[in-house]
Amino acid sequence: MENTFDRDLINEIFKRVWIRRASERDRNEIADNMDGENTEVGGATPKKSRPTSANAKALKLSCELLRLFVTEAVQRAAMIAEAEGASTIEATHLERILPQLLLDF
Amino acid sequence: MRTRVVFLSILPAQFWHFIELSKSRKNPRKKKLDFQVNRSEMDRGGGATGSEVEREDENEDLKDRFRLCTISIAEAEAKENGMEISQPIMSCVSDLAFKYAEQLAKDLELFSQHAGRKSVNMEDVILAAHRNTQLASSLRSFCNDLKAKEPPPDRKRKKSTRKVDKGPADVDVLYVPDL
Repeated sequence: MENTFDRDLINEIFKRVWIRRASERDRNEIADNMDGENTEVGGATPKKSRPTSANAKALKLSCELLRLFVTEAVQRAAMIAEAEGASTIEATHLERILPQLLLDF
Repeated sequence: MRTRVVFLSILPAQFWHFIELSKSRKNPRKKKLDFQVNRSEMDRGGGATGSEVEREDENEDLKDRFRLCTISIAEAEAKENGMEISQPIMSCVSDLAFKYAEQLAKDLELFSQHAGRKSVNMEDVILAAHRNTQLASSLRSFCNDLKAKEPPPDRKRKKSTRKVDKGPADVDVLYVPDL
């Protein structure tokens, strides 16, 4: 009955971002080294910065945060739709609540 | 149409590579990545571009899985409110939530780094929501619930208690009226 996001899925999404950022950092470091002094760090890629990781409870909490985001979006849109007397939530309803929703999260 | 397919299939591998490259040019974010690849191309070669394309596929896969989760949540929520929800709205909400998740990942990384940690904590997640007091307090109570049921490592029990715990959390979901 109670739906929430898959923890592994959220973990994968987070990891992707973190790996991307870690490799960006590495690349910048290499570029800086090349600009500064052309020393022994040529072929060997220094894998210094390991990507961030998350513990299980933090992931669960993130899932909850994202779930709240989705439920809030639906509930507020439903409120507007109800006020207009519609039975389905349409784009216009979402449009109405979107600014405040994005400010709240 | 058929002749075109045949024609494309005879194209040598280099052409495919070129097609992939020209496709990726249309995507601004990809363009930036290409640029960065070019900077360090001297010791890596062009192979990096292929992995970028692969990564993009992976991203699409993740987005689809995320969308499925969102749809089930949104439909359940809409049903509770006695409403139907149209399909485009759900994918729109899903895209929003996905972007939010990526932004959240960046925030969490920065927060944990600022604290001198290598892994993300529950405190970081609460901090990420600190702007909205009600949201933060709702997350904090969820966090306390998680802590409270820490002792039994049994999964089944965890799940059943979670159901009970989430009931009140749904009730005090914040609503800020449209002004």
